[in-house]
Amino acid sequence: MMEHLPVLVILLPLCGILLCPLLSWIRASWGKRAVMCGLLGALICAVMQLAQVVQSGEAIHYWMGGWMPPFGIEFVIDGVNGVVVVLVSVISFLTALYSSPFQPHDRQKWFQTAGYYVLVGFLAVGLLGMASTGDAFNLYVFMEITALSGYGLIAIGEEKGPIAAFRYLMTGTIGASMYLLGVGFLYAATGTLNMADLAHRLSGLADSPLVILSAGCLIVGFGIKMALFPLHGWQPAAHSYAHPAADPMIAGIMIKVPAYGMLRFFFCVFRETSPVMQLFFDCIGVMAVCGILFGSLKALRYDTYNKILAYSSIGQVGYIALGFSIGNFYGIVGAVLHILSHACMKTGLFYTSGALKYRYGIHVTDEMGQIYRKMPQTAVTMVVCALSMIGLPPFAGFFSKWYLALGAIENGQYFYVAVLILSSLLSAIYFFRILEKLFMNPETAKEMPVIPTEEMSEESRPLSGGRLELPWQMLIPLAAVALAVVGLGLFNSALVNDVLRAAVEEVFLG
Amino acid sequence: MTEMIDKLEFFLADRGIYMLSFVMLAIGIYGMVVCSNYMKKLMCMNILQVSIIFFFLTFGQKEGGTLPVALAEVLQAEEYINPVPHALMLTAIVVSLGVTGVGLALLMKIRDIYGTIEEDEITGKGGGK
Amino acid sequence: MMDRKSKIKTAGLVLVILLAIAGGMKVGSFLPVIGAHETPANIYLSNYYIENAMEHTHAANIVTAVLADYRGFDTLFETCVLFLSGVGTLMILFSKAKVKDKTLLKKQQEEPAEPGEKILREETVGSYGGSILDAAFRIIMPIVMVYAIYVLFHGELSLGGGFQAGALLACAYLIDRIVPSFESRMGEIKEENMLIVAGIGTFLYAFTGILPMFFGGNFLEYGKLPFGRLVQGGAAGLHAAGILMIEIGVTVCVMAVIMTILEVVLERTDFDDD
Repeated sequence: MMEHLPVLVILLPLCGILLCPLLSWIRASWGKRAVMCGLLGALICAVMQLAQVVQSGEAIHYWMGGWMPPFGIEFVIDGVNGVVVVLVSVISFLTALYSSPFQPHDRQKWFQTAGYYVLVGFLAVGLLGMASTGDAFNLYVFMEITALSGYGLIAIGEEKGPIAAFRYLMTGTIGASMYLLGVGFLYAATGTLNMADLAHRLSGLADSPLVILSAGCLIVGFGIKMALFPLHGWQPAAHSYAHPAADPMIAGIMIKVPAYGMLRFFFCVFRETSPVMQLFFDCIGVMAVCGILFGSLKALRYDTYNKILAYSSIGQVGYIALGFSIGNFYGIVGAVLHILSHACMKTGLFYTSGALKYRYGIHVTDEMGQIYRKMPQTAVTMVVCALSMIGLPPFAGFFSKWYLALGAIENGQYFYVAVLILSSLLSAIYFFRILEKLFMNPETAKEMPVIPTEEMSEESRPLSGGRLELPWQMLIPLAAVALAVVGLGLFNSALVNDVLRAAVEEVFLG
Repeated sequence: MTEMIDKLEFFLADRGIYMLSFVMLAIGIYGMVVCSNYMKKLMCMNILQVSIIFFFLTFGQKEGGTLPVALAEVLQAEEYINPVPHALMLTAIVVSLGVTGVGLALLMKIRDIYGTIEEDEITGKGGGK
Repeated sequence: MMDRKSKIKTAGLVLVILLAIAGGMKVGSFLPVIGAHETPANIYLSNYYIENAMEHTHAANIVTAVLADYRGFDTLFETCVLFLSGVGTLMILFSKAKVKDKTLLKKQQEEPAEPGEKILREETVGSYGGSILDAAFRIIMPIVMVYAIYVLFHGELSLGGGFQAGALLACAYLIDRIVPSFESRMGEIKEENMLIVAGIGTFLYAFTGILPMFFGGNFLEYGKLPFGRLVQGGAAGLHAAGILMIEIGVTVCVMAVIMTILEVVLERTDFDDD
């Protein structure tokens, strides 16, 4: 079975999802367990395939149906997307675990639980597929799977969810259509859909206007999906009003994997076509700088926790794009590291946001006073992730920015370094404001009634010293993400040198 | 007059269909931005998707080509039209069907919450009930 | 005020169309002439598929061969998109009360007498209709279903396939739901249960792909399916059998999803503006 690892990563959760309604109908909890087992299996397979790639030093190619590319669809796993696949499967599994206290325990409502897990599972499958595929049209199909489950999860969220979902549906469809149009131009120019083959056949067509047009369409398409600055319109509402349990996944990885797709498309497919790359570097650089400043400034204006996080995401996606526009080794490593670290940090922050909503119904930062006394572990995760977002040294966020700055200095783009420092200061302002409310505000949570939940049985009700921690299904993801943020920071040089270096140098810059 | 029609026909058969599908694309995006009724937005979205489907199908055409169904008398490859865009667009059509279905469900839900699907009225109410 | 706004909109539309015409002409001039034989798109993959599809898969319809075999992985997820849209629709509208329940509630408030299923259906669907519609329905229904089966099994030979067959089967149910009658003919189907069926249909597709993995093939490699003895024509025959299996899965999924969406929407639509 070892040779099937790339497809097993997709298949195990897929089988769980497809049988989830049936199993839930038989017994309400089986369906969600099936999805979780599938995601756990995907996680194990993802780690194994990454180990295999690192050990052998070459990319794994898997041919669907045994058809040789470009005639069939292939999966390509190299060092970079192997890491992204591991990231996606870890966060999907943790989110599935985290969601289970949010579900109704009522036997009559079995379909609500089953449907929720189907949506979460498909979100994971879509993202895993987008990260692993080596076929341009297959990427579109996975993009739409991701988007559709995203619409569902946003719509079943809070009261404004349906409007946010509808706006996202409109914008997301424009994005996907633009992507498809770009692929159409490429297909008209080369006659193939396989990415490696496209790269090979495009090398003779460097000046073709079709290729430049398609690059423009692809920038718009991926830009909308990853909420890059002028195309981010759908993002704040969608991230603020989505289902609180699924929000960590939507905010954490749903905008990162398209960013990886952009990296792969431009640095693998268009690598040999220098006019396109020049256009790409210029466009993306401007968009990234504007996005970083816009997101950070806009986040200052809000005091709803989710809104601050959502706008800060716009800025953080700007960092990733900045790495693409720097375009040398350190730039790309910085971008990939930032995909990883920001996914962990943002997921962690949204886990805390969901936890606050779950326990006290807190949405606004003003209400968070002294909450650390009641929910110490939530507060620890919040502090770790916030410090990492600002970019303080031992945490992951610092090192990705460090690599970005190194890349910018190597290229002589000192303006980018200035932008990085400025936006770090801005994010320090809004995150310290949150932390100040958390620690300095007088205790408001006393007046806030605890929302009764079903897992609170008789023995957990007596609160020792006012502490009221979360159920274990929510504590494990919170702890895991905080550890991941620290771990990514401490072991970043190992990650860069042993895993990413070979792949980045060979695949993206070779 | 007939000369004009011949010219037009020639133009359309040559490259004009591309232009028409781009006009549809523009109408679709324009409508999605400008219309304030959500239902109209959804319809414009469909126009957008159809325009891309047309665009793909046009470059699968071959002059004098027949359907890509292998007939009893075996023909040469250039006598069949290109099957790839058709297969891709079948997928795209199904995807657009799924998106439209979810969009309609969202509209019903929005109407249930706000009592209207006009954007002005929904935002005018401050997003509340 | 309103008038001026609509004028601006019209002017904008004209401007956009003119721009699109200009842009489209420009873009069109980069693209190959429509119908040309020697474009990259028309010779590279296309010729391979046309020349080899019959030999590899025994599917005369090359589009089916590409869709279900060479690019079968896409089609699996295309089916998943449909399943997902069924689940999404139901999840989004789950909390909206059904019209039937509303009527039931109203009725119970007015008179606590037993409401009775029959009366309810009459009230929600309307008591018009009549014997001619009923008779026509009874004639049309079997024909539609037989035609659906024909489309399903003939898909690999000529035009047709799982999606069309599923849509036709769902049409049969749609006719039952929208042609009013005094009694339910096919019975009420709960939408959650239909989604279970849809999931099983899609799983059948995935399972067809998984099976060859136990016999030394890749995912979806139909040539390694383990029933070589039942099928004539060696690997190509197995490919045809694989295509048929996935088409059945697709049919089940499409039928169930369309029925789900239909049920969800029909049950919850308020026809009057209350």
